[in-house]
Amino acid sequence: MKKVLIAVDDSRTSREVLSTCASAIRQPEEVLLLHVQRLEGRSLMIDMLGEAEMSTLKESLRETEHKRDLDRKSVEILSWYRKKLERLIRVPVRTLVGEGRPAEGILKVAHDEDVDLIILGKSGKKSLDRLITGSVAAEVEKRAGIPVMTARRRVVCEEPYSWTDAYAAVSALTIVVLGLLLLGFVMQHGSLLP
Amino acid sequence: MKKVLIAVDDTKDSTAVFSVFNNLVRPPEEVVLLNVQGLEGKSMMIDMLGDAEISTLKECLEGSEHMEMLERESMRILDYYRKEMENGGLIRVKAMSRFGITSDEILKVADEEGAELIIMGFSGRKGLDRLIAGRLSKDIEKSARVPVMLARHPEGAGKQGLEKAVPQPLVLKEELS
Repeated sequence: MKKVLIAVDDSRTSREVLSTCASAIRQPEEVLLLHVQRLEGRSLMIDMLGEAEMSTLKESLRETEHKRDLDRKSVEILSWYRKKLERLIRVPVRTLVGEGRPAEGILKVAHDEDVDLIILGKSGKKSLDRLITGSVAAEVEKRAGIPVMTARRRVVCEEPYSWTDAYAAVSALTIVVLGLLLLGFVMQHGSLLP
Repeated sequence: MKKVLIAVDDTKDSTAVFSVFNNLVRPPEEVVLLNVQGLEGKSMMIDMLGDAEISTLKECLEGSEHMEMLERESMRILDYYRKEMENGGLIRVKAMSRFGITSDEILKVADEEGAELIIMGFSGRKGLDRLIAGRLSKDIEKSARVPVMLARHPEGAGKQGLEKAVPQPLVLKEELS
Protein backbone atom coordinates (compact mmCIF):
# COMPACT_ATOMS: atom_id res chain seq x y z
CA MET A 1 0.00 0.00 0.00
CA LYS A 2 1.48 3.27 -1.01
CA LYS A 3 -0.19 6.16 0.75
CA VAL A 4 -2.47 6.42 3.73
CA LEU A 5 -4.24 9.60 4.77
CA ILE A 6 -4.98 9.87 8.46
CA ALA A 7 -7.26 12.71 9.46
CA VAL A 8 -7.08 13.76 13.10
CA ASP A 9 -8.57 16.39 15.32
CA ASP A 10 -8.40 17.24 19.00
CA SER A 11 -11.03 14.72 20.06
CA ARG A 12 -10.37 11.65 22.13
CA THR A 13 -11.87 9.31 19.56
CA SER A 14 -9.27 10.48 17.09
CA ARG A 15 -6.59 8.67 19.08
CA GLU A 16 -8.08 5.39 18.09
CA VAL A 17 -6.46 5.68 14.69
CA LEU A 18 -3.21 4.80 16.39
CA SER A 19 -4.22 1.35 17.55
CA THR A 20 -5.80 0.70 14.17
CA CYS A 21 -2.58 1.60 12.40
CA ALA A 22 -0.63 -0.66 14.67
CA SER A 23 -2.77 -3.73 14.24
CA ALA A 24 -5.18 -3.69 11.36
CA ILE A 25 -3.47 -2.27 8.31
CA ARG A 26 -0.47 -3.21 6.27
CA GLN A 27 2.64 -1.12 6.33
CA PRO A 28 2.19 1.81 3.95
CA GLU A 29 5.05 3.51 2.16
CA GLU A 30 3.99 6.93 3.27
CA VAL A 31 1.59 8.41 5.78
CA LEU A 32 -0.11 11.76 5.42
CA LEU A 33 -1.36 13.26 8.63
CA LEU A 34 -4.00 15.92 8.20
CA HIS A 35 -5.58 18.31 10.62
CA VAL A 36 -8.37 20.49 9.32
CA GLN A 37 -8.77 23.62 11.41
CA ARG A 38 -12.28 24.57 12.26
CA LEU A 39 -12.17 28.29 11.60
CA GLU A 40 -15.57 28.76 13.13
CA GLY A 41 -15.09 26.59 16.20
CA ARG A 42 -17.86 24.11 16.70
CA SER A 43 -20.71 26.25 15.45
CA LEU A 44 -23.13 25.24 12.78
CA MET A 45 -22.38 28.43 10.95
CA ILE A 46 -19.90 26.89 8.60
CA ASP A 47 -22.54 24.90 6.80
CA MET A 48 -24.32 28.07 5.85
CA LEU A 49 -21.28 29.76 4.40
CA GLY A 50 -21.01 29.85 0.70
CA GLU A 51 -17.81 29.84 -1.25
CA ALA A 52 -17.38 33.61 -1.21
CA GLU A 53 -18.09 33.93 2.50
CA MET A 54 -15.68 31.15 3.27
CA SER A 55 -12.80 32.76 1.45
CA THR A 56 -13.66 36.11 3.03
CA LEU A 57 -13.52 34.43 6.42
CA LYS A 58 -10.16 32.92 5.66
CA GLU A 59 -8.85 36.24 4.43
CA SER A 60 -10.03 38.16 7.44
CA LEU A 61 -8.57 35.62 9.82
CA ARG A 62 -5.16 35.75 8.27
CA GLU A 63 -2.53 37.21 10.58
CA THR A 64 -4.97 37.41 13.48
CA GLU A 65 -4.35 36.10 16.94
CA HIS A 66 -7.21 33.64 16.56
CA LYS A 67 -5.50 32.18 13.55
CA ARG A 68 -2.20 32.03 15.36
CA ASP A 69 -3.91 30.09 18.15
CA LEU A 70 -5.43 27.73 15.64
CA ASP A 71 -2.09 27.20 13.99
CA ARG A 72 -0.41 26.54 17.29
CA LYS A 73 -3.08 24.01 18.15
CA SER A 74 -2.65 22.30 14.79
CA VAL A 75 1.06 21.98 15.31
CA GLU A 76 0.49 20.51 18.76
CA ILE A 77 -1.98 17.97 17.51
CA LEU A 78 0.03 17.00 14.47
CA SER A 79 3.28 16.69 16.41
CA TRP A 80 1.64 14.48 18.99
CA TYR A 81 0.28 12.14 16.39
CA ARG A 82 3.37 12.17 14.29
CA LYS A 83 5.57 11.16 17.18
CA LYS A 84 3.29 8.30 18.15
CA LEU A 85 2.89 7.10 14.58
CA GLU A 86 6.55 7.13 13.77
CA ARG A 87 7.21 5.03 16.80
CA LEU A 88 4.44 2.60 15.93
CA ILE A 89 4.97 2.04 12.27
CA ARG A 90 8.38 3.45 11.38
CA VAL A 91 7.27 5.06 8.15
CA PRO A 92 7.79 8.68 7.05
CA VAL A 93 4.90 10.83 8.20
CA ARG A 94 4.10 14.04 6.39
CA THR A 95 1.86 16.55 8.09
CA LEU A 96 -0.68 18.87 6.51
CA VAL A 97 -2.96 21.55 7.82
CA GLY A 98 -6.23 22.44 6.19
CA GLU A 99 -8.89 25.06 6.82
CA GLY A 100 -12.61 24.95 6.42
CA ARG A 101 -15.03 22.08 6.34
CA PRO A 102 -13.35 18.93 7.63
CA ALA A 103 -14.98 16.46 5.24
CA GLU A 104 -14.13 18.48 2.20
CA GLY A 105 -10.61 19.09 3.36
CA ILE A 106 -10.07 15.40 3.85
CA LEU A 107 -11.56 14.48 0.50
CA LYS A 108 -9.52 17.06 -1.33
CA VAL A 109 -6.24 15.88 0.14
CA ALA A 110 -7.18 12.29 -0.56
CA HIS A 111 -7.86 13.18 -4.15
CA ASP A 112 -4.87 15.44 -4.74
CA GLU A 113 -2.42 13.09 -3.10
CA ASP A 114 -3.99 10.03 -4.68
CA VAL A 115 -4.07 8.10 -1.42
CA ASP A 116 -5.02 4.45 -1.17
CA LEU A 117 -6.84 4.61 2.14
CA ILE A 118 -8.38 7.20 4.45
CA ILE A 119 -8.38 6.56 8.17
CA LEU A 120 -10.55 8.62 10.49
CA GLY A 121 -11.51 8.43 14.10
CA LYS A 122 -15.16 7.68 14.63
CA SER A 123 -17.45 10.62 15.02
CA GLY A 124 -17.80 11.99 18.54
CA LYS A 125 -19.48 9.61 20.89
CA LYS A 126 -21.72 12.05 22.69
CA SER A 127 -24.89 12.61 20.72
CA LEU A 128 -25.01 16.38 21.16
CA ASP A 129 -21.50 16.78 19.84
CA ARG A 130 -22.40 14.59 16.91
CA LEU A 131 -25.50 16.60 16.16
CA ILE A 132 -23.63 19.86 16.15
CA THR A 133 -20.54 18.91 14.29
CA GLY A 134 -22.25 16.44 12.02
CA SER A 135 -20.63 13.27 11.05
CA VAL A 136 -17.41 13.91 9.22
CA ALA A 137 -16.79 10.21 8.97
CA ALA A 138 -20.16 9.54 7.38
CA GLU A 139 -19.71 12.27 4.82
CA VAL A 140 -16.20 11.18 3.89
CA GLU A 141 -17.36 7.59 3.62
CA LYS A 142 -20.16 8.59 1.34
CA ARG A 143 -18.11 10.67 -1.04
CA ALA A 144 -14.69 9.10 -1.10
CA GLY A 145 -14.17 6.80 -4.02
CA ILE A 146 -11.54 4.90 -2.10
CA PRO A 147 -11.59 2.69 0.99
CA VAL A 148 -12.31 4.51 4.22
CA MET A 149 -11.65 3.11 7.62
CA THR A 150 -13.24 4.38 10.78
CA ALA A 151 -10.94 3.48 13.59
CA ARG A 152 -12.23 2.25 16.83
CA ARG A 153 -10.33 0.74 19.66
CA ARG A 154 -11.79 -2.64 20.50
CA VAL A 155 -14.31 -1.90 23.21
CA VAL A 156 -15.05 -4.89 25.37
CA CYS A 157 -17.63 -3.41 27.66
CA GLU A 158 -19.45 -0.20 26.92
CA GLU A 159 -21.64 1.39 29.54
CA PRO A 160 -24.80 2.97 28.22
CA TYR A 161 -24.47 5.84 30.71
CA SER A 162 -21.30 7.57 31.79
CA TRP A 163 -20.53 9.38 34.98
CA THR A 164 -21.13 12.73 33.32
CA ASP A 165 -24.70 11.69 32.60
CA ALA A 166 -25.15 10.63 36.22
CA TYR A 167 -23.64 13.89 37.38
CA ALA A 168 -25.96 15.88 35.20
CA ALA A 169 -28.97 13.89 36.34
CA VAL A 170 -28.16 14.35 40.02
CA SER A 171 -27.57 18.07 39.55
CA ALA A 172 -30.85 18.49 37.72
CA LEU A 173 -32.70 16.54 40.38
CA THR A 174 -31.13 18.60 43.17
CA ILE A 175 -32.14 21.82 41.47
CA VAL A 176 -35.69 20.60 41.04
CA VAL A 177 -35.95 19.51 44.67
CA LEU A 178 -34.50 22.77 45.94
CA GLY A 179 -36.83 24.67 43.68
CA LEU A 180 -39.83 22.85 45.05
CA LEU A 181 -38.71 23.40 48.61
CA LEU A 182 -38.24 27.07 47.93
CA LEU A 183 -41.64 27.26 46.34
CA GLY A 184 -43.17 25.52 49.30
CA PHE A 185 -41.45 27.88 51.64
CA VAL A 186 -42.59 30.92 49.72
CA MET A 187 -46.15 29.73 49.58
CA GLN A 188 -46.16 29.04 53.27
CA HIS A 189 -44.74 32.45 53.96
CA GLY A 190 -47.23 33.99 51.61
CA SER A 191 -50.13 32.49 53.54
CA LEU A 192 -48.86 34.13 56.70
CA LEU A 193 -49.18 37.58 55.22
CA PRO A 194 -52.37 39.31 56.16
CA MET B 1 -4.79 -9.86 13.83
CA LYS B 2 -6.67 -12.98 14.64
CA LYS B 3 -10.07 -12.58 13.02
CA VAL B 4 -11.56 -10.33 10.42
CA LEU B 5 -15.22 -10.22 9.44
CA ILE B 6 -15.96 -9.55 5.80
CA ALA B 7 -19.59 -8.72 5.08
CA VAL B 8 -20.49 -9.22 1.46
CA ASP B 9 -23.63 -8.48 -0.42
CA ASP B 10 -23.06 -9.54 -3.97
CA THR B 11 -20.33 -10.82 -6.19
CA LYS B 12 -20.32 -7.48 -7.99
CA ASP B 13 -18.38 -5.88 -5.15
CA SER B 14 -15.69 -8.50 -5.18
CA THR B 15 -12.96 -6.42 -6.80
CA ALA B 16 -13.18 -3.86 -4.04
CA VAL B 17 -13.19 -6.48 -1.31
CA PHE B 18 -10.22 -8.40 -2.67
CA SER B 19 -8.30 -5.24 -3.37
CA VAL B 20 -8.81 -4.02 0.18
CA PHE B 21 -8.07 -7.37 1.67
CA ASN B 22 -4.95 -8.05 -0.33
CA ASN B 23 -3.43 -4.60 -0.27
CA LEU B 24 -4.60 -2.66 2.73
CA VAL B 25 -5.42 -5.00 5.55
CA ARG B 26 -2.92 -6.93 7.56
CA PRO B 27 -3.51 -10.65 6.88
CA PRO B 28 -5.43 -12.18 9.76
CA GLU B 29 -5.36 -15.78 10.89
CA GLU B 30 -9.01 -16.29 10.13
CA VAL B 31 -11.63 -14.67 7.98
CA VAL B 32 -15.33 -14.88 8.67
CA LEU B 33 -17.25 -14.36 5.46
CA LEU B 34 -20.76 -13.22 6.12
CA ASN B 35 -23.65 -12.79 3.76
CA VAL B 36 -26.89 -11.45 5.13
CA GLN B 37 -30.01 -12.05 3.14
CA GLY B 38 -32.74 -9.59 3.85
CA LEU B 39 -35.95 -11.50 4.08
CA GLU B 40 -37.89 -8.74 2.47
CA GLY B 41 -35.72 -8.14 -0.58
CA LYS B 42 -34.52 -4.60 -1.05
CA SER B 43 -37.48 -2.91 0.54
CA MET B 44 -37.21 -0.49 3.40
CA MET B 45 -39.97 -2.36 5.17
CA ILE B 46 -37.63 -4.31 7.34
CA ASP B 47 -36.67 -1.26 9.37
CA MET B 48 -40.19 -1.08 10.68
CA LEU B 49 -40.21 -4.64 11.91
CA GLY B 50 -39.36 -5.34 15.50
CA ASP B 51 -37.59 -8.43 16.76
CA ALA B 52 -40.84 -10.29 17.33
CA GLU B 53 -42.05 -9.65 13.82
CA ILE B 54 -38.73 -10.67 12.31
CA SER B 55 -38.70 -13.99 14.11
CA THR B 56 -42.30 -14.59 13.10
CA LEU B 57 -41.34 -13.83 9.54
CA LYS B 58 -38.44 -16.23 9.74
CA GLU B 59 -40.67 -18.95 11.12
CA CYS B 60 -43.24 -18.47 8.37
CA LEU B 61 -40.57 -18.65 5.73
CA GLU B 62 -38.91 -21.75 7.13
CA GLY B 63 -38.80 -24.53 4.58
CA SER B 64 -40.51 -22.37 2.00
CA GLU B 65 -39.37 -22.01 -1.57
CA HIS B 66 -38.48 -18.39 -1.00
CA MET B 67 -36.20 -19.34 1.87
CA GLU B 68 -34.53 -22.06 -0.18
CA MET B 69 -33.90 -19.55 -2.90
CA LEU B 70 -32.34 -17.13 -0.43
CA GLU B 71 -30.17 -19.89 1.01
CA ARG B 72 -29.00 -20.90 -2.43
CA GLU B 73 -28.20 -17.33 -3.33
CA SER B 74 -26.30 -16.83 -0.12
CA MET B 75 -24.26 -19.97 -0.68
CA ARG B 76 -23.46 -18.92 -4.20
CA ILE B 77 -22.10 -15.58 -3.04
CA LEU B 78 -20.15 -17.08 -0.17
CA ASP B 79 -18.63 -19.81 -2.32
CA TYR B 80 -17.49 -17.26 -4.83
CA TYR B 81 -15.64 -15.25 -2.24
CA ARG B 82 -14.36 -18.23 -0.35
CA LYS B 83 -12.82 -19.80 -3.41
CA GLU B 84 -10.95 -16.63 -4.26
CA MET B 85 -9.68 -16.13 -0.75
CA GLU B 86 -8.59 -19.67 -0.19
CA ASN B 87 -6.69 -19.60 -3.45
CA GLY B 88 -4.78 -16.61 -2.25
CA GLY B 89 -3.11 -18.04 0.79
CA LEU B 90 -3.00 -19.82 4.02
CA ILE B 91 -5.95 -18.19 5.70
CA ARG B 92 -8.79 -20.04 7.31
CA VAL B 93 -12.11 -18.96 5.88
CA LYS B 94 -15.40 -19.53 7.64
CA ALA B 95 -18.52 -18.78 5.66
CA MET B 96 -21.81 -17.85 7.29
CA SER B 97 -25.29 -17.02 6.08
CA ARG B 98 -27.67 -14.97 8.12
CA PHE B 99 -31.17 -13.75 7.48
CA GLY B 100 -32.82 -10.62 8.78
CA ILE B 101 -31.81 -7.00 9.26
CA THR B 102 -28.41 -6.60 7.63
CA SER B 103 -26.81 -4.16 10.04
CA ASP B 104 -28.02 -6.06 13.11
CA GLU B 105 -26.77 -9.37 11.81
CA ILE B 106 -23.38 -7.98 10.88
CA LEU B 107 -22.88 -6.46 14.31
CA LYS B 108 -24.14 -9.59 16.02
CA VAL B 109 -21.78 -11.85 14.12
CA ALA B 110 -18.88 -9.47 14.71
CA ASP B 111 -19.53 -9.71 18.44
CA GLU B 112 -20.11 -13.44 18.49
CA GLU B 113 -17.02 -14.23 16.51
CA GLY B 114 -14.86 -11.65 18.25
CA ALA B 115 -13.80 -10.05 14.99
CA GLU B 116 -11.16 -7.36 15.31
CA LEU B 117 -12.10 -5.63 12.09
CA ILE B 118 -15.19 -5.43 9.94
CA ILE B 119 -14.76 -5.05 6.20
CA MET B 120 -17.90 -3.97 4.42
CA GLY B 121 -18.16 -5.04 0.83
CA PHE B 122 -21.19 -3.03 -0.16
CA SER B 123 -20.34 -0.68 -2.94
CA GLY B 124 -23.79 0.67 -3.79
CA ARG B 125 -22.71 3.02 -6.50
CA LYS B 126 -25.99 4.04 -7.97
CA GLY B 127 -29.54 4.83 -7.03
CA LEU B 128 -31.37 2.69 -4.53
CA ASP B 129 -28.32 0.51 -3.89
CA ARG B 130 -26.35 3.58 -2.94
CA LEU B 131 -29.04 4.79 -0.59
CA ILE B 132 -29.22 1.45 1.15
CA ALA B 133 -25.48 0.94 1.30
CA GLY B 134 -24.99 4.44 2.66
CA ARG B 135 -27.44 3.89 5.49
CA LEU B 136 -26.00 0.51 6.21
CA SER B 137 -22.45 1.71 6.55
CA LYS B 138 -23.58 4.60 8.72
CA ASP B 139 -25.46 2.23 11.05
CA ILE B 140 -22.49 -0.06 11.33
CA GLU B 141 -20.01 2.72 11.81
CA LYS B 142 -22.13 4.14 14.59
CA SER B 143 -22.52 0.95 16.62
CA ALA B 144 -19.48 -1.13 15.83
CA ARG B 145 -17.02 -1.76 18.61
CA VAL B 146 -14.16 -2.44 16.26
CA PRO B 147 -12.71 -0.57 13.28
CA VAL B 148 -14.84 -0.68 10.15
CA MET B 149 -13.34 -0.59 6.69
CA LEU B 150 -15.47 0.31 3.70
CA ALA B 151 -14.21 -1.50 0.69
CA ARG B 152 -14.18 0.61 -2.39
CA HIS B 153 -12.42 0.17 -5.64
CA PRO B 154 -10.74 3.37 -6.71
CA GLU B 155 -11.79 3.40 -10.34
CA GLY B 156 -14.51 4.71 -12.59
CA ALA B 157 -17.63 6.03 -10.93
CA GLY B 158 -16.01 6.23 -7.53
CA LYS B 159 -13.31 8.75 -8.33
CA GLN B 160 -15.49 10.74 -10.69
CA GLY B 161 -17.97 11.21 -7.93
CA LEU B 162 -15.20 12.52 -5.75
CA GLU B 163 -14.10 15.13 -8.23
CA LYS B 164 -17.58 16.47 -8.63
CA ALA B 165 -18.05 16.69 -4.92
CA VAL B 166 -15.11 18.97 -4.14
CA PRO B 167 -15.32 21.98 -6.42
CA GLN B 168 -13.95 24.68 -4.14
CA PRO B 169 -10.30 25.24 -3.43
CA LEU B 170 -9.04 24.70 0.05
CA VAL B 171 -6.04 26.32 1.60
CA LEU B 172 -3.43 23.75 2.44
CA LYS B 173 -0.06 24.27 3.90
CA GLU B 174 2.70 21.97 4.96
CA GLU B 175 3.48 21.80 8.61
CA LEU B 176 4.21 25.10 10.25
CA SER B 177 7.43 24.96 12.14
